[in-house]
Amino acid sequence: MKRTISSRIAFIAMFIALAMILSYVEMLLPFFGKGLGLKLGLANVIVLSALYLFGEKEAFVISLVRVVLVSILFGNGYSFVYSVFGAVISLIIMIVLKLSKSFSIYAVSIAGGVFHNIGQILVAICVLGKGMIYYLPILITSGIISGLVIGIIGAILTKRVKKVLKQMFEYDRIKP
Amino acid sequence: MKKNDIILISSFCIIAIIIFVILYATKSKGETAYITINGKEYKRISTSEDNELRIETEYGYNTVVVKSGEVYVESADCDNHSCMHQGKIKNSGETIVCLPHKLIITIE
Repeated sequence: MKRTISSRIAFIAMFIALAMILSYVEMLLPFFGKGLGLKLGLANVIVLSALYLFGEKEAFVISLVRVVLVSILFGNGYSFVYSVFGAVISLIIMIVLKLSKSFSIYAVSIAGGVFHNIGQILVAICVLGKGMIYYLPILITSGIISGLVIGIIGAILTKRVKKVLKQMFEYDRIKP
Repeated sequence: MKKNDIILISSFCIIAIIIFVILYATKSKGETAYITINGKEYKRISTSEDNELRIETEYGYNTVVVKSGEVYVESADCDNHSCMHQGKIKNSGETIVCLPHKLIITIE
């Protein structure tokens, strides 16, 4: 959806804001896996939708800006390293799978979830030692489950927002 | 869902199961608990005798208890108390991690 530069900036800003809010909401939610560091990754709904609605560059910007802002607001230096590593690895995998055009949004989301967790465990192995590798199987499993949930929500969101964007695009053309 | 999706998801599952099997097939009952703080060695304690250890660092405190071969964190002043909820460990390779205090207990 390539429209005017200002409307694209506005949409990206809105998506960053949404992703930040979802990160915050997730911190408030009680969740059985919190002790193990498991998360649903609600903010990934926004990154996933942005990947399908706007494009690869926009999704990258949204994801990185969100990680930086959320870390400044709620986190610390350590959580920033974990988040940034997980976010970048998962986004690279999602972009590659999406560009290969042989996978649906669900598989892209699941691969993103799995590699987000793999990225974080790699940082944990570097920082805390190789004992952390024992968390890998449970983190891959949780990545598959949360990736599927995020993929389903992301697919619905993408479909609905696409409709709105299309309407706006036609409205713009009629109005000079 | 496409056919490729199923293949991708199943391969993730298989990789997880393979890693799980490799890690847990090689485990045995550990002899010592190896405690590190911020990546550096803090102390090694034997798991064969009951013991109670209060670890105080600049980040806060954790009370580590050894009882009948099992190691667990009894109390801590970290904000999420996840080290306490990780339960008891006894097999080699099992760990308890307290991220806020940068504390790791590994059974060897």
